[in-house]
Amino acid sequence: MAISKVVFGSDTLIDLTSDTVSADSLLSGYTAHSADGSEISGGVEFVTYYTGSSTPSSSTGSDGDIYLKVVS
Amino acid sequence: MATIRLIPSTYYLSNSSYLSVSNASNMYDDTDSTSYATVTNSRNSTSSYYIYLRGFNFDDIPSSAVVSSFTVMLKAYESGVSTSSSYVPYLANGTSTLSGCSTTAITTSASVHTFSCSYDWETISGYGDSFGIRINCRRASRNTTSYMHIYGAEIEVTYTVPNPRTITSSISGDGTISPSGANTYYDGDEYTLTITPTDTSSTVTATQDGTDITSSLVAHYAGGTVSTVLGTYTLESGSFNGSGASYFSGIVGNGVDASQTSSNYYSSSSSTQAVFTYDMSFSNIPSNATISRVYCEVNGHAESTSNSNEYMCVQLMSGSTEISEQINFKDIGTSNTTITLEATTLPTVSQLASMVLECTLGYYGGAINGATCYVVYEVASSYPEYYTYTYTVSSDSTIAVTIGGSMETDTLYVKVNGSWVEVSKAYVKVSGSWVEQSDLTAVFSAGTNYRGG
Repeated sequence: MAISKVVFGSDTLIDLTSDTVSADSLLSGYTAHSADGSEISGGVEFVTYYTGSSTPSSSTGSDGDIYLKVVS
Repeated sequence: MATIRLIPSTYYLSNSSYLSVSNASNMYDDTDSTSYATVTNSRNSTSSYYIYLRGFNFDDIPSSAVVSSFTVMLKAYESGVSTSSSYVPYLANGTSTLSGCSTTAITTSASVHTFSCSYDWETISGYGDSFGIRINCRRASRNTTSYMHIYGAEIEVTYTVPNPRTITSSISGDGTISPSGANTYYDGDEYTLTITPTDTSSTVTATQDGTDITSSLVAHYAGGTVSTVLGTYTLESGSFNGSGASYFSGIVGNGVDASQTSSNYYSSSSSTQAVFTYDMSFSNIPSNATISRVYCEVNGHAESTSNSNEYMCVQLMSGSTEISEQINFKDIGTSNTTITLEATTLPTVSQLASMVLECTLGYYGGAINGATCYVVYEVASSYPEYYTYTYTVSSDSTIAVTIGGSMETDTLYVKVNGSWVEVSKAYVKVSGSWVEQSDLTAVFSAGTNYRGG
């Protein structure tokens, strides 16, 4: 059972109950614990876009990325 | 509400020998008048004589007026005749009586004759100066002169003039609107605004007495789609390449200029032909253009036309591919002439980079004074041909139409260093290579997260 709050005596050592992180707000590749103490894995994927006034270099970006050539 | 009396200003007699009028000015009065003009009829009994009162000034009523009622009236009586005489008034357009009107014959007592007709005000006023009151004059017997006395005639018109409204319309960006600027309308008028965009983005605003009324415009019809924008592009620069280039350096230029006539003739002076090319740059033609014509105008002349050896020729080439006929300077003659070299195989935009004007030197040569090449192209676009909006003018309303948004189907902007910059091309990396996207609107999609690199 996941633990979301730890109280020792009168001291609260850890309290996740007010946390708002969720899988759909966390970047993919990262983990965290939600308000109920369970571990979650980030599911947010980003496509990176680049801008420039010339044609893109082959060394720029990775598959799925976008390059926007703007009017110079 | 206003009431106005339109009265005649002139008369016409069908016969000036046997019909006459005295005190004519008394006819040009309304039916309240107590002074009369007299029409004397001394001719045999006939119904073909008449007097015609006309010249009602319809312009006295404001053009914006809404006429609620009108009445045509004549005040007259006859005298000195027997009861078998006949003076009957009609309404007339020109010399023709209008059907559908009922009236009664003029009697021996002065009275006001009111015309009851099926005509509306627009019809009557539309006759203008041709409209009148025609009174047929038929005396009783051959031996008795008869008289008709006319106190006046009038058209009594009741109307209202709506409040004038100033509607001002304008367009920013490309395109035209009609009407534009400030125009006067009246309550109840239908204001029609036609917008003809010439590009993908423009904004139209309209105000009534200073109040924005654009949101009240009602779209009725958007015309077809304008699909092309034509452009003709002249080469930007050029340079010589090839074994014969040194002969021609500085002679072929951007522009056909016969004044630059060369006194020298250029030939290979050998049986071995030399070839040089004139490279051209058309880099500013959009990549999505469709080329409809490529041609060059070349001015020059041949050294001679009497020899059978080879002469200088010019031809359009795309790389090693011939895309035009080869023109032999021998066929041009020895006088400066501008010839048109027409591409019979149209290159694509990307192929323009390898297009050259190729000159082949023969044993006999010629002089080239100048050359200019052109590319005629079309760029597909998509925006409505025109919009028509209507708006019923009333007291307090407003309008504002924005053309854009959905029309800007091929324009993408990205904010760079705080300013929006138009995107000319977009690429997506696929299997390690950047692939240009033909549809900018499909590059980004909802539900996908993006971040700057």
